[in-house]
Amino acid sequence: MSKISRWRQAGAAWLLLAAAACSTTGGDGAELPLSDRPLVGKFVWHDLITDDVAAVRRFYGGVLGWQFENGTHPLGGDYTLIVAGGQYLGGIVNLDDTEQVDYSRWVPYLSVEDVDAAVAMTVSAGGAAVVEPLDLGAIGRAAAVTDPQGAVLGLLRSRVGDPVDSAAGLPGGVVWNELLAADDVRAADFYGALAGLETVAISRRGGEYTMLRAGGIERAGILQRPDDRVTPQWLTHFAVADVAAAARRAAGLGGEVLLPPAPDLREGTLAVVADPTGAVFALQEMTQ
Amino acid sequence: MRTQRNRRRAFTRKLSLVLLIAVTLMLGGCNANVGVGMSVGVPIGNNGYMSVGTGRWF
Repeated sequence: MSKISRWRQAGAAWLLLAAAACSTTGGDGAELPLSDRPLVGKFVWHDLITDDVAAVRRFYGGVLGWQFENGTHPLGGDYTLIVAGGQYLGGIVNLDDTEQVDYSRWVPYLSVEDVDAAVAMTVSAGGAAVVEPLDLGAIGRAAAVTDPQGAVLGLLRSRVGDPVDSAAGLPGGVVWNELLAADDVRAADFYGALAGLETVAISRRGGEYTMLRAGGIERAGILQRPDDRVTPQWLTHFAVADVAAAARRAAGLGGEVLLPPAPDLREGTLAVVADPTGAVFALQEMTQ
Repeated sequence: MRTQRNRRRAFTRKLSLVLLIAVTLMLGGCNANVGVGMSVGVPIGNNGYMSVGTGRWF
């Protein structure tokens, strides 16, 4: 083999290796396998807004076993990436609270065909744009809104593909997103139109629940809020092997267990928790 | 003959440099290829009543 040929082969191998590494992995080996095209109707990313990044890293690391990477926001600035089971799950955004206002919350991002059109539709239906549509470099275009009932969510149109569905029940991973709606019927109409989701009302446990499906896959659910004083919101569910043990860990690490597991509450598989900065989420026990 | 070999070597070096730059740029962009990270500043509402209606978590 000539020297030139060896040079070319080495160069090609290096290039392929770099390209492969770039598309699926980060610096510490975490992965984010992406689909060929956006998975419209799926919640594809989850950001935690908080005023104390160090505190929530300790909390979620202890409760859900997450790892973290210090990253850079697509538009610049600090951004902590969350890794669960070797896969990127979301990020942590630092946003200082004011004296009167607490902003800490989870924001799930829904994949839509057209972010600008989705924001316009939301506003015309009575919602509001919280963050106007903007380009996120090579990633795509995103915005954040409050829906017509006041629930906060993000909208995303990816240029690189959306995270593919991972194995169900991956510990620490997102297994469900559920809207606690002020009016579940109106909410179903809205989300059906927003992201082309099929809405299917089902009866279970003596009540009604609405499934949101895309391409035959159940992507999220809508529940009439359990109490009229609860603010309408999207509740993200994270998988745990033992919900009672996870809830105990949460309480021990400075969280507040708003709704402890109980036999009459989805067969004892659910707990609702606020992290030390006030962001609310659900622990969902998954059986293997 | 020697001139031709020198030209080939020079070309190879330039090609290698271009590849190296391309790879560096690709890897540099990788860290910013995941995430959204927008500052969504909406005050949290009242979550404290979650536990009131436990019979309605269908």
